[in-house]
Amino acid sequence: MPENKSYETRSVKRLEATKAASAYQKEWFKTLRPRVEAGEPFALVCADAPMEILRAMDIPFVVYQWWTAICAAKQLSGKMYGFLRDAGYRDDICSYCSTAYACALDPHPEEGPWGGLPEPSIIITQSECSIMGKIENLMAEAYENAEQYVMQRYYEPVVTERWFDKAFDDYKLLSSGRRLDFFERELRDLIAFLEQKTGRMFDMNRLRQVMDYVNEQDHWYRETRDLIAKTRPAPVTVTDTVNAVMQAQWQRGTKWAAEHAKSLYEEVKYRAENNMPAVPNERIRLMWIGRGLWFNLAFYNHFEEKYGAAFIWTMYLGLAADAYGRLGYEDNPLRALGTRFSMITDFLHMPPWNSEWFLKEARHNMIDGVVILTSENCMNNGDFYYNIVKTLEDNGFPVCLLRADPADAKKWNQETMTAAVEELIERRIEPKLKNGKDVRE
Amino acid sequence: MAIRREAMGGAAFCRLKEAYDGRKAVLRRWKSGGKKVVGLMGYDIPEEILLAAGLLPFRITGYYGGERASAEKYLEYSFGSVWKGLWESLTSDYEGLIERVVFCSSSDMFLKLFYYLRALGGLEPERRLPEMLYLDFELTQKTFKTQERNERELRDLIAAAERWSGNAVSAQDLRAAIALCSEYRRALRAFNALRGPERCTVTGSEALTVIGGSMFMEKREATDCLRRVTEEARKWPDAPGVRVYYAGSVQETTEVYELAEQAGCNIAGEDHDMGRRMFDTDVDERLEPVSALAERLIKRMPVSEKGSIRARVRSLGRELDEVRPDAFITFMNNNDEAYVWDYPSVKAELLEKRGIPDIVVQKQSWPLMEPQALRTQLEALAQRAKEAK
Ligand code: SF4
Repeated sequence: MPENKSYETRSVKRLEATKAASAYQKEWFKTLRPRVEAGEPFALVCADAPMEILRAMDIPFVVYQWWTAICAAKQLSGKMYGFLRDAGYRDDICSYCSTAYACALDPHPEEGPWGGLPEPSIIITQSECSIMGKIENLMAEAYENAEQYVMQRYYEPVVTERWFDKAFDDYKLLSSGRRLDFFERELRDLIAFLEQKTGRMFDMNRLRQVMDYVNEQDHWYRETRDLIAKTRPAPVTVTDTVNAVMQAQWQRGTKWAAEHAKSLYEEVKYRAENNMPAVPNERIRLMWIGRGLWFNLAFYNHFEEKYGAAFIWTMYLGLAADAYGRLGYEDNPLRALGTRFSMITDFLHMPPWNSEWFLKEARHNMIDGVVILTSENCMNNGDFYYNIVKTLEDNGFPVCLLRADPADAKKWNQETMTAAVEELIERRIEPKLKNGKDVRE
Repeated sequence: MAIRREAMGGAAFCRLKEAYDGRKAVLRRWKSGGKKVVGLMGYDIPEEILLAAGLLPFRITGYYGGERASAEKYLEYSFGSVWKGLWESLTSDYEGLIERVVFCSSSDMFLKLFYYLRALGGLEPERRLPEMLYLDFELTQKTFKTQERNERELRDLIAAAERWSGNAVSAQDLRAAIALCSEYRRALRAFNALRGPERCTVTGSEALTVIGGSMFMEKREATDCLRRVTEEARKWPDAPGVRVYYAGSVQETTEVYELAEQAGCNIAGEDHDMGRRMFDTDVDERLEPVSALAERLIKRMPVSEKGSIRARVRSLGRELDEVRPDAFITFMNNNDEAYVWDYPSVKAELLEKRGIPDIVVQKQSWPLMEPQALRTQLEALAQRAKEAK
């Protein structure tokens, strides 16, 4: 049973692209179950996994953190974490990464979103967080036919300044040679495992095609991000973009996803050209750093009417725009791909990659204030917030830190969180705007 | 009960306790004596390599002297007590005292601390932060690929050690250092045997003091002291309390062990690195030194964070066979909670099958937030263990 909330949890959705993405996903899921039941391989992977390899081998997969987001949006988190509790696990820890395991404990998995998660045959561990590997151990035990494949990680000894200027045009500058070699080998080993497991042969040309689609998709995300960045008032807010982007990223490397990204851009462009602002009284532009608040996307709309404050930026579109595309990959797609999947965590969570990028995006998007969500029950949650806050504040962007669980609504306190953002707006942003010290100028 | 009078009556024990309690004084002494000290941030860094180069490894532990202002300022709440303590030591308490630090991947948090410190150096260039090296060992998978990778990391450490010391490290130097450390580990094991199920004359807090104290001594002196304390401890009276196995967050002070003793429990074995894990595996002296050191990394008892659930159940099963405890504690500091995911399997496959009563202690921090509540939990465990017996 979905949980009932005393506050509005459904956000405003303006775009056809959002609806199209949800519809496509639902349809894709419908066809997935019979495929899996007919014996096709199916993989559960974490968000950092090199999905392009699976795509190139036509192995369907679900990113289980995104599955968490879907369950949270459908207000099913309470039910899911109840299964963990009943099995002797804590129900208040690692919620972002444990939902898929909770699904494995569900006696009626078919009642899950979109007909439920099919039983995986492959689980790929590829994460900066070692705990994820342990939760995946449990998934592999719970799903009878699943085999866990663990990829190794390697740290980055060299700091590359302004990664976002290099990622697309010259990926070789992103990483040390040792790390490039390392991840190329990891990918080759993964391919060997998948070939053996599925009986399918990997085709490098097919991967090149996937990479082309990713570049195309990325291009449209960049255009969309840039358009939102320069248009005041913004034609859309994050409640329009998060779902549209996340669900299409799930299908990254397909023709559909590239076309969907284009359609998203065209829709946003139409709104921009026809003076259709998302928040007509937009006075304040806000940036949201951290995982999406999936069970309560309406929170992002909450400040629009009262303050004219619009959340216009999340990492979902920002990262899709800056972090995924790779030019000049043709001679060695694996090497280029290595710098993509291995560095996303660094870009987002590690200093100085993350703070540098957030500052660039805040400036680019004419942001007035920043809200950072720090994930409460994630042991791996630590992005050197001191550094992020200092970098942003020193450059004129007021910041407020919220501490909450983005997947589990249980501990969410609507009142306190609203008050914190309101305080940011009233005490930090508005006086600044009144004094004419607009950080965007 | 804490450290007993009988223990304090022995010269070797007192010497070890002095080192255990006065880590910073040891560091100062080494520095002022002109020794080249290298800080260790991680539980798997082979000291043998540093010793072979003529360097002195110094295990960095957390700051326990009071408020941790630097950690509170720079670190998020997701850093548990141990990690905050380490940060405090490096950025405040030991600042200027340690010029070089080697980190390794024993926990994901060491990588975070490494990245944060590297960034802090950029933010505050006036700080006297140490030169840092990170060794990214693979500690989960036991494969040939892992062995090769870890050997490469070790060769990085050799190169750094040569640079820092100005001495070339030969295979012979490495063999001599390996022999020295093996002797040290044997001495630790001989002492630890006095915590055994047949006759236990050492309390958990005495054991932590001895094992930990030996880490802050030069190896020869440590080995000598351990041999002498072993002789002393044979004559100590039997340690009271039910025998308890401890799995959980590393304990860098005796606070929790002493509380357990007051509650009628004696921690007779543990899975952390200020205790049994320190000496659980030897380096195979017959092998080529670098590959022998890498092999030891693979063979060691897996810590919860890096071990698969199966590997943890297997290794804790072996521990229980050896320690034969009457009770079991899973103890977790806040945000050091990998054990959560092992626990139901450990409970079902080991504790219930063997009829070992247990408690789970969660969300702890330093200093202990509610020592009385913890004591009550431990007393109840001691009672259940007695009844089960
Ligand atoms: S610590 Fe955080 S990243 Fe790691 S498994 Fe838990 S929720 Fe996921």
